[in-house]
Amino acid sequence: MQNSEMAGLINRVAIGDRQAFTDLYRVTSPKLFAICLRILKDRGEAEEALQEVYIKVWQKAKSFAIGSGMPTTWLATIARNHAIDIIRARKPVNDDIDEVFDLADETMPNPEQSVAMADDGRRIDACMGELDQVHAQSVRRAYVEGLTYAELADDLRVPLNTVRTWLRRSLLKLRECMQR
Amino acid sequence: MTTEPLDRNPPDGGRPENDEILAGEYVLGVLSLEARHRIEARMASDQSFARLVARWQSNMASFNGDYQEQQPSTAVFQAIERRLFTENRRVEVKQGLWDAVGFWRGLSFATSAIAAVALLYIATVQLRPTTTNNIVAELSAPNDPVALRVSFNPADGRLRIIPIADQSTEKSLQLWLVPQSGNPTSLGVFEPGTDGELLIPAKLRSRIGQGATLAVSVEPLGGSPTGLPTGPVIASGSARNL
Repeated sequence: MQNSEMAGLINRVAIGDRQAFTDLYRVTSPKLFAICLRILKDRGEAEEALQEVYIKVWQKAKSFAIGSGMPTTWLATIARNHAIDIIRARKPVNDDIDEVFDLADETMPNPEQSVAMADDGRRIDACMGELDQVHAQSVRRAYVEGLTYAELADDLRVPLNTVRTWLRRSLLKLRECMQR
Repeated sequence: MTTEPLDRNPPDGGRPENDEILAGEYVLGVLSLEARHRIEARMASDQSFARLVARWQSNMASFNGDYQEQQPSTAVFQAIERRLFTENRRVEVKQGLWDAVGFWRGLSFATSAIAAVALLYIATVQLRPTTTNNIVAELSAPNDPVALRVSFNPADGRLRIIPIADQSTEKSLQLWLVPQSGNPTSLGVFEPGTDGELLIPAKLRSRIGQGATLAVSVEPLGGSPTGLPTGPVIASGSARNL
């Protein structure tokens, strides 16, 4: 389905069109279910989460109509956020977040000038290729599987602070690369 | 007189790259629930930070390709429909007008708690006699582009409730028929100063029946210039036989 068609469906959901909601569910639920399942790792829980996700879709459709962006991204974000909230609530993370990051000498463009929603920079795939391979894999696994720093550290058998520094530096490098 | 150096740090003492990292970590999902909630609260009040988050979401969207589609069981959609529609309908039947009021308040009030307070504000009631001896009250909430005009005819005991756009905003309310597929069709614009009745064009009458979806949007004065809804939809629902 074209993005414009899917955006049209969401806009009709926003005005309470139940048929559009049924169609949207039919087209998008396999993807959103896959997201819930991958992050929650339990079919029953993923199906419960999927219910909540589509109830949010119904309720938030108006905010999509007003905002912009790709409909697939909007939907996937609702699903990921919900699934991640569930696992974080179930297994609290002890993150004494050091709010002031110690990543001196990284230079960043001014976000005010450079935030553009369009995919006008380099694609993230190209920029991921510029990262150390282990770091790139960590970034991707954190995103796709919804892992915490501690889980990544256990998995990779490196200290937690090391993983945290890898990911934070990777984020800055990705941003710098995509704006190049 | 003191001059701030141009390259001073943001007021929170952080640096732009810290916000960039925090936004990225939020989108990756590595943060704790508490940190996630803090970030979501900040996104609601800090637009430039919200844009950083949105940009990471857009950038990382290609990772969503790693999720291989899976079919959920059919019971899931049935449960969703039951929760969204069956329970709502029961409320609708019981509550009628109040359900409609819920739509209006949903327009400008983010939380139901605030909305409940808002109902108390429906106090700007102006009673005035009109030439037809009808008694008219306009019920509105502060900052709400929509009001309900209640007109009561003491002679026959009839009371009508008509949605009207706030006159100071120079907007009109337009009623739409939303088909199962295709574009919404205008059923008319609520004219101020009338009794709220809309004459439905003959060729559209057969389309308003059980299950038809009706919606009201806020449009420029006089109605949508494009023939399609352009403003926010403030209310919608399915028609049913009573």
